[in-house]
Amino acid sequence: MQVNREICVGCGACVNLCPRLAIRFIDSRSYIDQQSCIECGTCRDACGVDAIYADCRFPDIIMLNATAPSFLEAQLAVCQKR
Amino acid sequence: MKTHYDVVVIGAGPAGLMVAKEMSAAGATVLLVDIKKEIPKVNRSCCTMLINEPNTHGETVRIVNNNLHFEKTGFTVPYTGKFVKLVRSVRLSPGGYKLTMVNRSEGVAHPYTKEVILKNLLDSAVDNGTDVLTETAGIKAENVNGGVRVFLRPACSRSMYEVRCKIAFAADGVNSQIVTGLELFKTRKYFGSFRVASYFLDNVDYPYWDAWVTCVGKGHTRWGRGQIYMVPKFLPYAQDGDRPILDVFCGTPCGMPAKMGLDSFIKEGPFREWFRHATIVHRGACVVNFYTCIMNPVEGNIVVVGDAAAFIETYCQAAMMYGYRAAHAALKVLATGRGYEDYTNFWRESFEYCHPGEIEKALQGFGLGQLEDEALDYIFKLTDNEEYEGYVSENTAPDVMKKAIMGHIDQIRRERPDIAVVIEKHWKASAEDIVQG
Ligand SMILES: Cc1cc2nc3c(=O)[nH]c(=O)nc-3n(C[C@H](O)[C@H](O)[C@H](O)COP(=O)(O)OP(=O)(O)OC[C@H]3O[C@@H](n4cnc5c(N)ncnc54)[C@H](O)[C@@H]3O)c2cc1C
Ligand code: SF4
Ligand code: SF4
Repeated sequence: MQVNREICVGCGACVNLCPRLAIRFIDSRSYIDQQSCIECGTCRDACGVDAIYADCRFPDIIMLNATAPSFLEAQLAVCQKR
Repeated sequence: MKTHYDVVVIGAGPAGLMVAKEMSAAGATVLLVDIKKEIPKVNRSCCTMLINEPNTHGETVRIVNNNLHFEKTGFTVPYTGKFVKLVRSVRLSPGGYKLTMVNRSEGVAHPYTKEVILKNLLDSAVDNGTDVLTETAGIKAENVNGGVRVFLRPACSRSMYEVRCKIAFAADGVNSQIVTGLELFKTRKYFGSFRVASYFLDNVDYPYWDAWVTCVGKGHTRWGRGQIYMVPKFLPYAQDGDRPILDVFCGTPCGMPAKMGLDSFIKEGPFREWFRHATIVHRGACVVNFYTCIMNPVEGNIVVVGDAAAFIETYCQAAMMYGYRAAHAALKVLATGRGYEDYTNFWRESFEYCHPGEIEKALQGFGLGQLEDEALDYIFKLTDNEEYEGYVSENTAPDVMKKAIMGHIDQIRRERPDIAVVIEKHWKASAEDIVQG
């Protein structure tokens, strides 16, 4: 995750919520140490003013299809084809 | 800066500052640590109302010569800012109907400015010789033979360092980092998490400058979840003749849009006309994890104080009062080797949420969440022209509200049996249902 320091109001709340202690409070705005963050999303869900956003550090990630049929349906389709 | 202190205080809110001030005044060597750069600056949402209802958290706080006077504990916190006297506490339905509690003589609450209080306390602590480390996070506190090791990390550093002390205070607020590292954390039960966004608004065209207002119902924002609060207060260091601003809050469960709720309320809510010419002069936010209280807030020589030990919040006033009590108990420990019970027993007795059933009662006051707006408008129409004696208080307001609505229950049963069923069920719901519902 990254913090948009223009939007961050400096409430400090996210700092103690990070399980990796990745969030620093520098000049009364938060900053996420990219080498410690595991992208768990806790801070983003908590920030009251939506200053924290996911900026994917793995650009060759494969987007998975969110609307795929459930596991059971997919299995059934395979069985029926056989 | 030394490596050994009598006392290390982690967190310089009202609780930690009071501890540092009192302990250093008595001659202890004190290190005070905070992640903030400027300790008095407050960007965390806080209504900062003085809750003047007698016996709130075992203490009665009154305004005496513009200062905060703590009657039972017997001390005064100097205050040089302004107060607003609120005489009404109003719950507002989306249709604009209300349920009103009043106290015209004493007021229902008195908003003040936290910055001024924090600055005054910090100045006294520093005058007494307290060392202050800003932009430094308390990471962990550990009991060792004869004292406590505290691990600190400067904001821009990858490594931590260690400071030794005889007594450490965890005063780092509601989501305390220090408390999560203690054994006593395991005794707490978690309910859920709320996030808050807030604006100080100037130029609001508003009919409730004498009131604390809570908007009840779904129709106040486009998303329908969350709770809107409004409280008039003065900016820090306001001069005579300055007008108060309006502090507007939106709280939602984590993951739901608090800021969007706030923007929606102001721009497209049923009362948007009030905000047509408003300008934002300050923004705030916060997150509150709801945990049950720590019943025994001392582990070895680590003392937990203020919101760090509480369910939701102690209020600024009680954070200072418990800070004062904990500091004096700790001074006794430094002098005689024992004395923490003075603080822990008082905490358990006086902090209402330590008592069985109180959390449930307060959560019920959070609003009649299960009712549709049309039903809320119907109920609040019945109470619209009435006034009930009360205060702004999580502990007593729910009862007043219950009485006000139950006073009409026969009529409601007759006219709207569907609503009567929901109301009667609401007062029986469990705390978890309400947080999740
Ligand atoms: C929406 C809302 C409305 C409120 N309304 C009122 C009201 O009307 N009246 C009232 O009296 N109270 C109100 N409160 C409650 C009040 O804000 C708190 O009870 C009070 O501030 C608690 O004081 P504290 O010193 O325990 O903690 P805080 O004031 O939270 O202070 C904690 C300090 O610790 C620092 N810190 C945090 N983590 C670390 C770390 N890891 N290392 C070092 N430092 C750290 C923080 O920067 C902060 O300075 C409200 C709170 C909220 C959220
Ligand atoms: S929770 Fe949001 S506003 Fe608060 S410090 Fe973190 S990023 Fe900033
Ligand atoms: S995403 Fe998780 S690990 Fe990364 S900074 Fe936020 S809370 Fe910490």
